[in-house]
Formats: sequence, C-alpha cells, structure tokens
Amino acid sequence: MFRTVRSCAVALPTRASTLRAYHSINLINTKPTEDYNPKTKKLLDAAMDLVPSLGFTDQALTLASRRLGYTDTTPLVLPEGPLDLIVYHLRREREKLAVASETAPADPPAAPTTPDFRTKDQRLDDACHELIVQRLKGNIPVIEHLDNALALMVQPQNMAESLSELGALSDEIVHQAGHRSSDFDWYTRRASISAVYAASEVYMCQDKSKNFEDTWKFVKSSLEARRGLQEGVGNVGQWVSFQGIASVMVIRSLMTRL
Amino acid sequence: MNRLGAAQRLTRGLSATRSQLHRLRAFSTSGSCLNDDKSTHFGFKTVDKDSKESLVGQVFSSVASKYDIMNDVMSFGIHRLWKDEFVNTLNPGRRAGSNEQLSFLDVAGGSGDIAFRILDNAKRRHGDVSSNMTVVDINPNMLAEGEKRAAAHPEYANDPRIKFLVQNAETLDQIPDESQDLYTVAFGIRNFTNIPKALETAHRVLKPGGVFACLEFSKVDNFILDQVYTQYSFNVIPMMGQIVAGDRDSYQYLVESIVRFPTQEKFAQMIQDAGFTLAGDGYKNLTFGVAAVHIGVKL
Ligand SMILES: C[S@@+](CC[C@H](N)C(=O)[O-])C[C@H]1O[C@@H](n2cnc3c(N)ncnc32)[C@H](O)[C@@H]1O
Repeated sequence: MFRTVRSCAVALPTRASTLRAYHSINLINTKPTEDYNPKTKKLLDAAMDLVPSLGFTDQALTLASRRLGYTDTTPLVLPEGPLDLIVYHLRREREKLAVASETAPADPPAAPTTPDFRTKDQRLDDACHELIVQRLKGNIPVIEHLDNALALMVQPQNMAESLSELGALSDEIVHQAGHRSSDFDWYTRRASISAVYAASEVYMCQDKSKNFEDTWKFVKSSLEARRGLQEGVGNVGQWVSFQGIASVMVIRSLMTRL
Repeated sequence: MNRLGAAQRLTRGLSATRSQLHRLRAFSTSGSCLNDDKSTHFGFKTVDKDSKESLVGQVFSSVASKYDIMNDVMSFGIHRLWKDEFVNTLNPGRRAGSNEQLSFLDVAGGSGDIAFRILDNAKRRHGDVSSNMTVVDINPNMLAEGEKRAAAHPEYANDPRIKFLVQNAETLDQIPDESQDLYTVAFGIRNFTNIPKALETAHRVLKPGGVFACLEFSKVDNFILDQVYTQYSFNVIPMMGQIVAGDRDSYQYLVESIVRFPTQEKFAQMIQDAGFTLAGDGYKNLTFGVAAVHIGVKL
C-alpha cells in the first residue's frame, strides 16, 4: 500500500506502477516502524536521540525513559534492549530512504537535451550507488558506535534478524533504483547489493577520510567489481548461492575482527 | 520476546532435566519426614466462585510450611531456576544517575522467595541498597512464613526496606495509586478468583512506565512434551502430593488450576486488555512452556 502511492524519483518510466504493486505484495509489505506500538516508538526515538553520545546501550534506554517521565524499569518493554535499539535504527534509516524518494521532486518533464548514453544496467548501478551512499550517510550520527552495533548484530543468535534487515534494505535499494523485472537478474542484483552494503558498512567504521570520501569510493569500486563478476558467471543459481555466502562471510569476518 | 534460539532452548531443556533428576533424588530421601500437616478436603470438580477464595486460603494454609516441596513437585524441582531466570530477566534495581528509590511489590509473595532475589539483584548488579520491597499475600500463614524467613535471613533480618502486608491482589487496598515501579507475581495469579480485576489493580498501583511481570505455569509448546507433562501432572503430581505431603487433594487442585489457566497468547491479551503495553510478544517460555514469563509495561 505504502509502495503503490509513491512516486519513485529514479524509476524507469515503463510499466513502473504495475510492477511496483507486485513488489508491495511480495517483498516488503509494511512501512517498517509502523509495526511498533506508538508509545514504544516514542521511547525508541527518545533513546535514538541519545545514541550519538551514549551508544546503543541500556543506559540510553534508561535515560530516555526518565526523560519521558517513566521509570528505571520501563526499558523492559524492549526485551532485547540494545539489540532492539539497533534494529530500530536500521528500520528507521531504511524508512527514511523510502520517504526521501517519495518526497523527492518529480523528474523534470521529458525534454532530453543531452542524451543519456548509459546502458540500462549502468543506470541501475549508478542509482544503486547513490542509494547505498545515501543510506550509509544515515550512519554518520552514530558512527562511533557502529562497530559495537555490528558486533552485536553478528552474534549467532542475532544473525537471522540482521540478515533479514540487510535483505529488506537491499530490496528497498534495488526497487528504488528502478529495477522492475522479477527474473533472476533481480535476485543477483539484490544479493550483490547486500554484499556491497555489508562490506561498505564495515569499511565505514574505520574510515578516517574527510567526509567519508574513501567509503563512497569503496562503494563505487565494490559495485564495479561485482558487476564484472556478475557478467562472468553463467549459472545464475551458482551466482546466487555464491553471493549469499559472500555476504555472510563479510559479516563473519567482521565478527572475528571485533 | 520469545527469541531464544532453538539451540539455547534445547540446552535449557537439558539442564532442566538434569536438575530435575537431582531434585527428585533429593525428594526420595527427605520426603518422608515432611508429612506432618493435616490435609484439606474439598470437592474441586467445580468450586463455586464465592467459596474459591476461602478454599484457596485453605490450600495454601495446609501447605504453607511445605510450599517449597509443592513447587518442587510441580516443576520437577526447577522452579528455583525459573525464579532465577525471572528475576534475571527483570534485572531490577535503580540505575546509575538517579537518587530515587524504587518501589518493588511482590504479590502472592508468601515465602519471600522472589522478594529476596529482587533485592539481591538490585544490590549485586546495580549497587542499589536503598530501594524498597513490599510483599503481599492473601494468606497470613504464607506471609508469616516469609516474615520468618526474612527474620532468619543474614541480610534482610530487621531490614526496614521490606514490608509484609496481608492483601488481596484483586484490590490491594493499602497500596496507593501509581506508587510502584515493579509488580511481580510468581505462581500466584492462576489462584486469583478474578484475574482481570487483579490486572486492573496492578495497572492502578504502577507508576507510569512501571512494569507488570508474572511467572506462571503455562502451556507446553511441543505436542509430545505436552502429552508427557499432562500425564505427569494428572497422575504423578497428586500421587507425589500424597507421598511427600500427605495432601493429595491440594495437589490435585493445583494441577487443575494449571490446566485451566489461559495459554500464553490469551494471557498476554488479557494483560494488554488491562491497559499494558506488551514487551515484544508479551511472553517468554521457560523449559518448553512448562512455565512462562509475561511482561507488560504501563506506558
Ligand atoms: C504457590 S504460592 C506462590 C508463592 C511464591 N510467590 C513463590 O513463587 O514461591 C501461591 C500464593 O498465592 C497466594 N494467593 C492466592 N490468591 C491470592 C489473592 N487473591 N491475593 C493475594 N495472594 C493470593 C496464596 O496465598 C499463596 O501464597
């Protein structure tokens, strides 16, 4: 429902609306943070305001409770504590990505002066790059605590939830980039976005360059590297499983590093 | 809330089995010398609502001094682990950066079992030695048992922070509105005559943001285990009640009260209906659902 009403800034013009409906039913069906009880959401938002200084911690939740006039026992409403806060951050940032595209000005009416010589794939890649960077920018306020968050997310008992959030983010990005086919190409692209995003997030944690310029370059080169690989692999099934493993490996390597 | 991985649940189940064997062994050696109370007799096919309260009173009076054994029989001896897990999950205690004492209320707290664990947790994990504990129970004999244990406790003997009050959970007429930070009830709520009324009362006495937390026997989430536990509870428990406590009928009542108690989902819904916000799904199963922890927050 959420998806069908949105005008997608980078959408390819043809058949977009019908296919968007398809995605809305099959892939992501709700606006993520709508799932929360409004009062719980208020507590999470208040805690997120404190994360830049206190991190994804019980302390942030306790202080947020006090600020809202609640008491020290209140954070029990979030049974997983810090992990609930991290997952909320992921969902909220993913949602912002969707909202940004919804409110972005519509494409200027067609009067193409300079012809676009890019292939369809190149345009998709550029759009994906753009969106990954945009999403990663959402981590900047909490960048000092991102490594702790990743360390918690890759704990074996949290892995399933982390990967499903990563999958949902890739869906969002691939969809918004304007990819409208439901063939295997779509799955390979989604898998490769997952792998690139996960790797870039890790890279970002230790990036000391000005305004994270190195991270944006890393995103670009990773996407290009993936593309080369994608064209070289004939068997789609093989490619999908390789990508699935690759994104898990990226996260696993993180786990041993931290 | 029920996000325990299958593996973790399995380990928990296994460790439960080990301790169960241990407990049962302990029973067979110590059981015989504990058969000293006169058993209570009442028909319990269907007890009419008015008399339930007094009958419940009788059940617990007759078993007050042996309630530990009863819990052991009902839980394969692992109720202590569940109580540890319960308090561990709640992790009560004042957090750093505040001077406000918290008020804990343990309802149907008879023995003081939960109360001591809460105060221990507050001290050990948060250095909180100033928060207060009120233990209430409808049954003066059960309460006397708790007071006795407090008096004999190395840390809580004569501790002015602990108060014992005879109170009906359905009214709690001596507990002011919005005065409590945490309301706990362990293995008590299924005995209440009017559970929705008790939940409304819990909501009344809690401060904004205060927490309702319940530990109770529940529905086993595995079909085969459920068959086993049902057989165990209907056949073995009353028999054990007879052997270790000379009180088959009271044990039979307890088994039936467990069977009648709503499922995890239904009880979570009742908590929500009383105005609480559920923590996650609202419950967490312990030992495959033989017991469950329910948490609701007054937001
Ligand atoms: C099985 S004992 C549990 C004692 C303790 N909480 C524990 O976990 O070991 C149940 C207690 O519930 C109490 N009880 C039953 N109905 C009650 C009511 N309406 N209000 C308060 N307490 C009640 C009984 O007196 C008894 O002490």
